[in-house]
Amino acid sequence: MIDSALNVSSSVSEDPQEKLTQLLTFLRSRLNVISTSLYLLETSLDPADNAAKKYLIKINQEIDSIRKYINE
Amino acid sequence: MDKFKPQILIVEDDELIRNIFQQSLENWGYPVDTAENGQDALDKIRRKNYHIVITDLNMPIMDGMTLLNRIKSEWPYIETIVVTGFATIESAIDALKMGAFDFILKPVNFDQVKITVKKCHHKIQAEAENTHLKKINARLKELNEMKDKFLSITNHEIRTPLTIIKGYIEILDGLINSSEPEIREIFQILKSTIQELTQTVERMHTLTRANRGDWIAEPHNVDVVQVAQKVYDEMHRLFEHRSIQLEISLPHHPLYILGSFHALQIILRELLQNALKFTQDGGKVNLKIYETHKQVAICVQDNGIGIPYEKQDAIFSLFYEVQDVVYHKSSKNEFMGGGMGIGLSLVKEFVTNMKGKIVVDSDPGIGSTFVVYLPKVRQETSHKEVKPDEPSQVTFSS
Repeated sequence: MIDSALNVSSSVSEDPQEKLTQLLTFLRSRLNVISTSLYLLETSLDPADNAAKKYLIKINQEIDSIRKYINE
Repeated sequence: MDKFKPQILIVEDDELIRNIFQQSLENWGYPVDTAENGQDALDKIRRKNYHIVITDLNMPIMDGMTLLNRIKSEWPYIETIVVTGFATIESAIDALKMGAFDFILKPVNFDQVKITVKKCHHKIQAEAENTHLKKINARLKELNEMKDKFLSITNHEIRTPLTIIKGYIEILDGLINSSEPEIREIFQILKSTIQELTQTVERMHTLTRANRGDWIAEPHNVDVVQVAQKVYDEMHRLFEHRSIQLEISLPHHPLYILGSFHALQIILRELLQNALKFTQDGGKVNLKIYETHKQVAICVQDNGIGIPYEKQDAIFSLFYEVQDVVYHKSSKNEFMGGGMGIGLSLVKEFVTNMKGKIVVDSDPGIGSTFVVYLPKVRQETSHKEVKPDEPSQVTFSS
Protein backbone atom coordinates (compact mmCIF):
# COMPACT_ATOMS: atom_id res chain seq x y z
CA MET A 1 0.00 0.00 0.00
CA ILE A 2 2.82 2.35 0.87
CA ASP A 3 4.50 1.78 -2.45
CA SER A 4 1.33 2.33 -4.36
CA ALA A 5 0.68 5.44 -2.35
CA LEU A 6 4.12 6.78 -3.04
CA ASN A 7 3.89 6.04 -6.71
CA VAL A 8 0.83 8.19 -7.17
CA SER A 9 2.03 11.23 -8.99
CA SER A 10 1.30 14.63 -7.65
CA SER A 11 1.52 17.62 -9.87
CA VAL A 12 4.07 20.26 -9.04
CA SER A 13 3.61 23.70 -10.37
CA GLU A 14 5.67 26.80 -9.81
CA ASP A 15 2.98 28.93 -11.37
CA PRO A 16 1.84 31.36 -8.66
CA GLN A 17 -1.60 31.65 -10.22
CA GLU A 18 -2.01 27.88 -10.06
CA LYS A 19 -0.83 27.84 -6.46
CA LEU A 20 -3.35 30.51 -5.57
CA THR A 21 -6.05 28.43 -7.28
CA GLN A 22 -4.95 25.37 -5.27
CA LEU A 23 -5.21 27.32 -2.03
CA LEU A 24 -8.64 28.67 -2.95
CA THR A 25 -9.85 25.20 -3.95
CA PHE A 26 -8.69 23.86 -0.59
CA LEU A 27 -10.45 26.66 1.28
CA ARG A 28 -13.68 26.20 -0.70
CA SER A 29 -13.75 22.45 -0.13
CA ARG A 30 -13.32 22.85 3.63
CA LEU A 31 -15.97 25.58 3.76
CA ASN A 32 -18.32 23.19 2.00
CA VAL A 33 -17.61 20.57 4.65
CA ILE A 34 -18.46 23.08 7.37
CA SER A 35 -21.63 24.20 5.60
CA THR A 36 -22.81 20.63 5.15
CA SER A 37 -22.07 19.81 8.79
CA LEU A 38 -23.98 22.88 9.93
CA TYR A 39 -26.94 21.87 7.77
CA LEU A 40 -26.93 18.38 9.31
CA LEU A 41 -26.68 19.92 12.76
CA GLU A 42 -29.60 22.24 12.05
CA THR A 43 -31.81 19.37 10.88
CA SER A 44 -30.99 17.45 14.07
CA LEU A 45 -31.84 20.35 16.36
CA ASP A 46 -34.97 21.00 18.29
CA PRO A 47 -36.90 23.51 16.09
CA ALA A 48 -37.71 25.52 19.19
CA ASP A 49 -34.06 25.96 20.15
CA ASN A 50 -33.75 29.61 19.15
CA ALA A 51 -30.48 30.21 20.94
CA ALA A 52 -28.74 27.51 18.93
CA LYS A 53 -30.36 28.78 15.75
CA LYS A 54 -29.00 32.25 16.44
CA TYR A 55 -25.45 30.90 16.55
CA LEU A 56 -25.96 28.79 13.45
CA ILE A 57 -27.01 31.96 11.60
CA LYS A 58 -23.96 33.80 12.90
CA ILE A 59 -21.62 30.99 11.81
CA ASN A 60 -23.21 30.87 8.36
CA GLN A 61 -22.78 34.62 8.05
CA GLU A 62 -19.07 34.33 8.80
CA ILE A 63 -18.72 31.47 6.30
CA ASP A 64 -20.51 33.55 3.69
CA SER A 65 -18.11 36.43 4.32
CA ILE A 66 -15.09 34.15 3.75
CA ARG A 67 -16.69 32.58 0.69
CA LYS A 68 -17.52 35.99 -0.75
CA TYR A 69 -13.95 37.13 -0.20
CA ILE A 70 -12.31 34.13 -1.86
CA ASN A 71 -14.74 34.23 -4.76
CA GLU A 72 -13.90 37.84 -5.56
CA MET B 1 29.27 34.94 -28.50
CA ASP B 2 26.87 32.12 -27.76
CA LYS B 3 25.67 29.35 -30.01
CA PHE B 4 22.79 31.39 -31.42
CA LYS B 5 23.41 32.15 -35.09
CA PRO B 6 20.94 34.36 -36.92
CA GLN B 7 19.31 32.92 -40.03
CA ILE B 8 20.37 35.07 -43.00
CA LEU B 9 18.72 35.60 -46.40
CA ILE B 10 20.91 36.96 -49.21
CA VAL B 11 18.97 38.76 -51.95
CA GLU B 12 21.17 39.37 -54.97
CA ASP B 13 20.45 39.03 -58.70
CA ASP B 14 24.10 38.46 -59.65
CA GLU B 15 24.67 34.74 -59.16
CA LEU B 16 28.42 35.06 -58.66
CA ILE B 17 28.13 37.69 -55.94
CA ARG B 18 25.24 35.77 -54.40
CA ASN B 19 27.35 32.62 -54.17
CA ILE B 20 30.35 34.42 -52.73
CA PHE B 21 28.11 35.98 -50.06
CA GLN B 22 26.62 32.60 -49.27
CA GLN B 23 29.95 30.79 -49.03
CA SER B 24 31.56 33.50 -46.93
CA LEU B 25 28.69 33.69 -44.44
CA GLU B 26 28.47 29.92 -44.19
CA ASN B 27 32.21 29.79 -43.53
CA TRP B 28 31.64 32.16 -40.60
CA GLY B 29 29.03 29.76 -39.28
CA TYR B 30 25.81 31.47 -40.31
CA PRO B 31 22.90 29.51 -41.82
CA VAL B 32 22.17 31.15 -45.18
CA ASP B 33 19.46 31.02 -47.85
CA THR B 34 19.46 32.97 -51.08
CA ALA B 35 16.93 34.75 -53.30
CA GLU B 36 17.35 36.19 -56.79
CA ASN B 37 15.17 39.27 -56.34
CA GLY B 38 12.79 41.05 -53.99
CA GLN B 39 9.76 38.98 -54.94
CA ASP B 40 11.64 35.71 -54.49
CA ALA B 41 12.85 37.00 -51.08
CA LEU B 42 9.31 37.86 -49.94
CA ASP B 43 8.14 34.36 -50.86
CA LYS B 44 10.93 32.88 -48.75
CA ILE B 45 10.35 35.21 -45.80
CA ARG B 46 6.70 34.16 -45.74
CA ARG B 47 7.72 30.51 -45.42
CA LYS B 48 10.64 30.80 -43.01
CA ASN B 49 11.81 32.97 -40.15
CA TYR B 50 14.86 35.09 -40.95
CA HIS B 51 16.76 37.32 -38.59
CA ILE B 52 18.82 39.23 -41.17
CA VAL B 53 18.14 40.04 -44.83
CA ILE B 54 21.12 41.28 -46.83
CA THR B 55 19.77 42.75 -50.04
CA ASP B 56 21.11 44.36 -53.18
CA LEU B 57 19.25 47.55 -54.09
CA ASN B 58 19.29 47.33 -57.86
CA MET B 59 17.47 44.17 -58.95
CA PRO B 60 14.89 43.19 -61.59
CA ILE B 61 11.23 42.30 -60.76
CA MET B 62 11.38 43.89 -57.29
CA ASP B 63 14.22 46.17 -56.24
CA GLY B 64 15.88 46.32 -52.83
CA MET B 65 14.14 49.51 -51.63
CA THR B 66 10.69 48.05 -52.35
CA LEU B 67 11.70 44.84 -50.59
CA LEU B 68 13.03 46.83 -47.62
CA ASN B 69 9.77 48.76 -47.43
CA ARG B 70 7.70 45.56 -47.44
CA ILE B 71 9.89 43.91 -44.82
CA LYS B 72 9.72 46.89 -42.47
CA SER B 73 5.95 47.10 -42.76
CA GLU B 74 5.24 43.37 -42.40
CA TRP B 75 8.19 41.99 -40.41
CA PRO B 76 9.66 44.95 -38.53
CA TYR B 77 11.78 42.67 -36.33
CA ILE B 78 13.88 41.47 -39.32
CA GLU B 79 17.15 43.36 -39.58
CA THR B 80 18.16 44.44 -43.08
CA ILE B 81 21.53 45.31 -44.55
CA VAL B 82 21.55 46.87 -48.00
CA VAL B 83 24.26 46.41 -50.62
CA THR B 84 24.50 49.22 -53.11
CA GLY B 85 26.50 49.27 -56.27
CA PHE B 86 25.75 52.88 -57.01
CA ALA B 87 28.50 54.07 -54.79
CA THR B 88 26.23 56.84 -53.73
CA ILE B 89 25.68 57.59 -50.16
CA GLU B 90 22.14 58.92 -50.94
CA SER B 91 20.56 55.53 -51.62
CA ALA B 92 22.24 54.06 -48.56
CA ILE B 93 20.92 56.93 -46.41
CA ASP B 94 17.43 56.43 -47.84
CA ALA B 95 17.67 52.75 -46.84
CA LEU B 96 18.82 53.67 -43.33
CA LYS B 97 15.92 56.13 -43.06
CA MET B 98 13.59 53.27 -43.92
CA GLY B 99 14.98 51.23 -41.04
CA ALA B 100 17.91 49.32 -42.54
CA PHE B 101 20.51 48.32 -39.95
CA ASP B 102 23.52 49.29 -42.14
CA PHE B 103 24.77 49.36 -45.71
CA ILE B 104 27.64 47.77 -47.64
CA LEU B 105 29.11 49.43 -50.69
CA LYS B 106 30.11 47.61 -53.86
CA PRO B 107 32.67 46.44 -54.69
CA VAL B 108 32.10 44.34 -51.63
CA ASN B 109 34.83 44.14 -49.02
CA PHE B 110 34.11 40.88 -47.16
CA ASP B 111 35.99 41.96 -44.08
CA GLN B 112 33.49 44.80 -43.91
CA VAL B 113 30.63 42.33 -44.47
CA LYS B 114 31.85 40.19 -41.59
CA ILE B 115 32.03 43.18 -39.24
CA THR B 116 28.59 44.48 -40.27
CA VAL B 117 26.91 41.08 -39.92
CA LYS B 118 28.57 40.57 -36.56
CA LYS B 119 27.33 43.95 -35.35
CA CYS B 120 23.85 43.07 -36.53
CA HIS B 121 24.11 39.69 -34.80
CA HIS B 122 25.05 41.44 -31.54
CA LYS B 123 22.12 43.79 -31.86
CA ILE B 124 19.67 40.91 -32.35
CA GLN B 125 21.14 39.11 -29.40
CA ALA B 126 21.03 42.17 -27.18
CA GLU B 127 17.39 42.74 -28.11
CA ALA B 128 16.57 39.10 -27.37
CA GLU B 129 18.27 39.38 -23.98
CA ASN B 130 16.44 42.59 -23.30
CA THR B 131 13.11 40.96 -24.12
CA HIS B 132 14.05 38.03 -21.89
CA LEU B 133 14.90 40.37 -19.01
CA LYS B 134 11.62 42.21 -19.50
CA LYS B 135 9.80 38.90 -19.28
CA ILE B 136 11.69 38.01 -16.08
CA ASN B 137 10.83 41.40 -14.61
CA ALA B 138 7.19 40.94 -15.51
CA ARG B 139 7.27 37.49 -13.93
CA LEU B 140 8.86 38.83 -10.75
CA LYS B 141 6.24 41.55 -10.62
CA GLU B 142 3.53 38.93 -11.03
CA LEU B 143 5.09 36.84 -8.25
CA ASN B 144 5.20 39.81 -5.90
CA GLU B 145 1.59 40.63 -6.63
CA MET B 146 0.64 37.03 -6.01
CA LYS B 147 2.52 37.00 -2.71
CA ASP B 148 0.62 40.10 -1.66
CA LYS B 149 -2.60 38.38 -2.65
CA PHE B 150 -1.71 35.28 -0.63
CA LEU B 151 -0.91 37.50 2.30
CA SER B 152 -4.16 39.42 2.10
CA ILE B 153 -6.16 36.20 1.72
CA THR B 154 -4.50 34.57 4.67
CA ASN B 155 -4.54 37.70 6.76
CA HIS B 156 -7.46 39.49 8.28
CA GLU B 157 -10.08 38.45 5.71
CA ILE B 158 -9.97 34.79 6.67
CA ARG B 159 -8.14 34.48 9.95
CA THR B 160 -10.57 36.65 11.88
CA PRO B 161 -13.79 34.99 10.63
CA LEU B 162 -12.24 31.58 11.33
CA THR B 163 -11.49 32.58 14.91
CA ILE B 164 -15.07 33.83 15.29
CA ILE B 165 -16.52 30.65 13.79
CA LYS B 166 -14.39 28.55 16.13
CA GLY B 167 -15.72 30.49 19.10
CA TYR B 168 -19.35 30.18 17.97
CA ILE B 169 -18.98 26.44 17.46
CA GLU B 170 -17.68 26.07 21.01
CA ILE B 171 -20.66 28.06 22.33
CA LEU B 172 -23.06 26.04 20.19
CA ASP B 173 -21.58 22.79 21.45
CA GLY B 174 -22.11 23.96 25.02
CA LEU B 175 -25.66 25.14 24.30
CA ILE B 176 -26.79 21.96 22.59
CA ASN B 177 -24.86 19.83 25.08
CA SER B 178 -25.90 16.63 23.36
CA SER B 179 -24.32 13.23 23.84
CA GLU B 180 -26.01 11.74 20.77
CA PRO B 181 -23.32 10.08 18.67
CA GLU B 182 -24.53 11.75 15.46
CA ILE B 183 -24.35 15.23 16.99
CA ARG B 184 -20.96 14.48 18.56
CA GLU B 185 -19.66 13.36 15.18
CA ILE B 186 -20.89 16.55 13.50
CA PHE B 187 -19.15 18.68 16.14
CA GLN B 188 -16.02 16.61 15.75
CA ILE B 189 -16.02 17.23 11.98
CA LEU B 190 -16.72 20.94 12.46
CA LYS B 191 -13.91 21.37 14.97
CA SER B 192 -11.32 19.38 13.06
CA THR B 193 -12.17 21.16 9.78
CA ILE B 194 -11.91 24.57 11.41
CA GLN B 195 -8.61 23.55 12.94
CA GLU B 196 -7.31 22.32 9.59
CA LEU B 197 -8.38 25.54 7.89
CA THR B 198 -6.85 27.67 10.61
CA GLN B 199 -3.54 25.80 10.51
CA THR B 200 -3.33 25.96 6.73
CA VAL B 201 -4.13 29.66 6.64
CA GLU B 202 -1.60 30.33 9.41
CA ARG B 203 1.14 28.38 7.60
CA MET B 204 0.38 30.02 4.27
CA HIS B 205 0.51 33.36 6.00
CA THR B 206 3.85 32.51 7.57
CA LEU B 207 5.21 31.21 4.27
CA THR B 208 4.16 34.33 2.40
CA ARG B 209 5.75 36.52 5.04
CA ALA B 210 8.89 34.38 4.86
CA ASN B 211 8.87 34.78 1.07
CA ARG B 212 8.83 38.50 1.53
CA GLY B 213 11.68 38.27 4.03
CA ASP B 214 9.51 39.75 6.79
CA TRP B 215 10.61 37.29 9.46
CA ILE B 216 14.32 37.67 9.12
CA ALA B 217 14.27 41.42 8.60
CA GLU B 218 16.14 41.98 11.86
CA PRO B 219 18.11 38.81 12.58
CA HIS B 220 19.61 38.24 15.99
CA ASN B 221 21.60 35.52 17.70
CA VAL B 222 19.51 32.44 18.43
CA ASP B 223 20.65 29.41 20.38
CA VAL B 224 19.75 26.35 18.30
CA VAL B 225 20.20 24.03 21.28
CA GLN B 226 17.66 25.96 23.33
CA VAL B 227 15.13 25.99 20.49
CA ALA B 228 15.63 22.26 19.83
CA GLN B 229 15.04 21.46 23.50
CA LYS B 230 11.88 23.58 23.51
CA VAL B 231 10.49 21.93 20.39
CA TYR B 232 11.36 18.47 21.76
CA ASP B 233 9.47 19.29 24.98
CA GLU B 234 6.46 20.41 22.96
CA MET B 235 6.35 17.50 20.59
CA HIS B 236 7.70 14.36 22.22
CA ARG B 237 4.27 13.30 23.48
CA LEU B 238 2.98 13.17 19.90
CA PHE B 239 5.69 10.60 19.17
CA GLU B 240 4.98 8.69 22.39
CA HIS B 241 1.31 8.55 21.44
CA ARG B 242 2.29 6.57 18.36
CA SER B 243 5.02 4.57 20.09
CA ILE B 244 7.69 6.21 17.98
CA GLN B 245 11.00 6.57 19.79
CA LEU B 246 12.12 10.19 19.52
CA GLU B 247 15.77 10.48 20.44
CA ILE B 248 17.42 13.87 20.87
CA SER B 249 21.12 14.56 20.94
CA LEU B 250 22.27 18.03 21.93
CA PRO B 251 25.66 19.55 22.70
CA HIS B 252 26.23 20.86 26.23
CA HIS B 253 26.93 24.39 25.08
CA PRO B 254 24.77 26.85 23.16
CA LEU B 255 25.20 27.00 19.40
CA TYR B 256 24.27 30.37 17.99
CA ILE B 257 23.05 31.23 14.54
CA LEU B 258 21.93 34.56 13.13
CA GLY B 259 18.21 34.47 12.45
CA SER B 260 14.85 34.36 14.11
CA PHE B 261 13.87 32.27 17.13
CA HIS B 262 10.38 31.83 15.71
CA ALA B 263 11.65 30.81 12.27
CA LEU B 264 14.02 28.26 13.79
CA GLN B 265 11.21 26.89 15.89
CA ILE B 266 9.11 26.44 12.74
CA ILE B 267 12.00 24.69 10.96
CA LEU B 268 12.38 22.18 13.80
CA ARG B 269 8.65 21.65 14.24
CA GLU B 270 8.04 21.08 10.54
CA LEU B 271 10.93 18.64 10.19
CA LEU B 272 9.80 16.66 13.22
CA GLN B 273 6.17 16.82 12.08
CA ASN B 274 7.25 15.50 8.70
CA ALA B 275 9.18 12.63 10.33
CA LEU B 276 6.18 11.84 12.53
CA LYS B 277 3.89 11.80 9.54
CA PHE B 278 5.99 9.43 7.45
CA THR B 279 7.18 7.03 10.15
CA GLN B 280 5.08 4.02 11.02
CA ASP B 281 3.93 3.47 14.60
CA GLY B 282 6.76 1.89 16.60
CA GLY B 283 9.42 3.53 14.43
CA LYS B 284 12.35 5.71 15.39
CA VAL B 285 13.20 9.37 14.86
CA ASN B 286 16.44 11.12 15.82
CA LEU B 287 16.94 14.83 16.28
CA LYS B 288 20.58 15.74 16.49
CA ILE B 289 22.17 19.17 16.79
CA TYR B 290 25.88 19.40 16.18
CA GLU B 291 28.46 21.85 14.90
CA THR B 292 30.92 21.75 12.08
CA HIS B 293 33.78 24.18 11.57
CA LYS B 294 31.54 27.02 10.34
CA GLN B 295 28.03 25.72 10.65
CA VAL B 296 25.40 24.45 13.01
CA ALA B 297 23.68 21.32 11.74
CA ILE B 298 20.15 20.26 12.57
CA CYS B 299 19.65 16.65 11.60
CA VAL B 300 16.30 14.88 11.66
CA GLN B 301 16.51 11.23 10.76
CA ASP B 302 13.68 8.70 10.62
CA ASN B 303 13.27 5.09 9.65
CA GLY B 304 9.96 5.79 7.93
CA ILE B 305 8.72 5.13 4.42
CA GLY B 306 11.29 7.35 2.69
CA ILE B 307 10.79 9.42 -0.45
CA PRO B 308 10.88 7.99 -3.98
CA TYR B 309 14.10 9.09 -5.67
CA GLU B 310 12.30 10.79 -8.56
CA LYS B 311 10.30 12.93 -6.12
CA GLN B 312 13.09 14.14 -3.88
CA ASP B 313 13.67 17.30 -5.91
CA ALA B 314 10.03 18.31 -5.67
CA ILE B 315 9.36 17.95 -1.96
CA PHE B 316 10.19 21.56 -1.18
CA SER B 317 7.67 22.86 -3.70
CA LEU B 318 4.59 24.53 -2.30
CA PHE B 319 1.52 22.26 -2.15
CA TYR B 320 3.57 19.20 -3.08
CA GLU B 321 2.48 16.06 -1.26
CA VAL B 322 4.36 12.84 -1.97
CA GLN B 323 1.44 10.63 -1.06
CA ASP B 324 -1.94 10.84 -2.67
CA VAL B 325 -4.63 12.66 -0.77
CA VAL B 326 -6.79 9.49 -0.64
CA TYR B 327 -4.31 8.02 1.84
CA HIS B 328 -4.50 11.01 4.13
CA LYS B 329 -5.71 10.45 7.64
CA SER B 330 -7.72 13.17 9.29
CA SER B 331 -4.99 14.09 11.76
CA LYS B 332 -1.63 15.27 10.56
CA ASN B 333 -0.05 13.53 13.55
CA GLU B 334 -1.09 10.13 12.28
CA PHE B 335 0.91 7.99 9.90
CA MET B 336 0.45 9.46 6.39
CA GLY B 337 -1.58 12.19 8.04
CA GLY B 338 -3.15 14.99 6.05
CA GLY B 339 -1.44 18.09 4.88
CA MET B 340 -1.31 20.53 2.05
CA GLY B 341 2.38 20.41 1.23
CA ILE B 342 3.27 23.68 2.90
CA GLY B 343 5.61 22.56 5.70
CA LEU B 344 8.79 21.81 3.76
CA SER B 345 8.33 24.92 1.58
CA LEU B 346 8.28 26.88 4.78
CA VAL B 347 11.44 25.17 6.04
CA LYS B 348 13.25 25.82 2.75
CA GLU B 349 12.20 29.46 2.73
CA PHE B 350 13.40 30.09 6.29
CA VAL B 351 16.65 28.19 5.78
CA THR B 352 17.36 30.21 2.65
CA ASN B 353 16.50 33.45 4.44
CA MET B 354 18.99 32.53 7.17
CA LYS B 355 21.66 31.91 4.52
CA GLY B 356 21.68 28.20 5.18
CA LYS B 357 21.01 25.12 3.14
CA ILE B 358 18.98 21.98 3.52
CA VAL B 359 19.88 18.56 2.18
CA VAL B 360 17.81 15.43 2.10
CA ASP B 361 18.98 11.87 1.87
CA SER B 362 16.21 9.34 1.55
CA ASP B 363 15.78 5.73 0.57
CA PRO B 364 12.28 4.42 -0.06
CA GLY B 365 11.35 1.87 2.57
CA ILE B 366 14.40 2.67 4.71
CA GLY B 367 13.96 6.24 5.86
CA SER B 368 14.85 9.87 5.38
CA THR B 369 17.44 12.24 6.77
CA PHE B 370 17.01 15.99 6.55
CA VAL B 371 19.98 18.13 7.51
CA VAL B 372 19.77 21.90 7.81
CA TYR B 373 23.08 23.75 7.85
CA LEU B 374 23.06 27.29 9.21
CA PRO B 375 26.06 29.61 9.49
CA LYS B 376 27.43 29.53 13.02
CA VAL B 377 27.92 32.68 15.07
CA ARG B 378 30.99 32.41 17.25
CA GLN B 379 30.24 33.35 20.85
CA GLU B 380 33.15 31.92 22.73
CA THR B 381 32.33 33.66 25.97
CA SER B 382 28.86 32.23 26.21
CA HIS B 383 30.00 28.61 25.85
CA LYS B 384 29.66 26.46 28.84
CA GLU B 385 32.98 24.94 29.65
CA VAL B 386 32.86 21.20 29.08
CA LYS B 387 34.85 19.18 31.58
CA PRO B 388 37.23 16.60 30.12
CA ASP B 389 35.26 13.65 31.45
CA GLU B 390 31.92 15.13 30.43
CA PRO B 391 30.48 14.09 27.04
CA SER B 392 30.21 16.97 24.60
CA GLN B 393 26.73 15.80 23.55
CA VAL B 394 23.87 14.71 25.69
CA THR B 395 21.37 12.23 24.32
CA PHE B 396 18.00 11.29 25.66
CA SER B 397 14.80 9.97 24.25
CA SER B 398 11.09 9.99 24.82
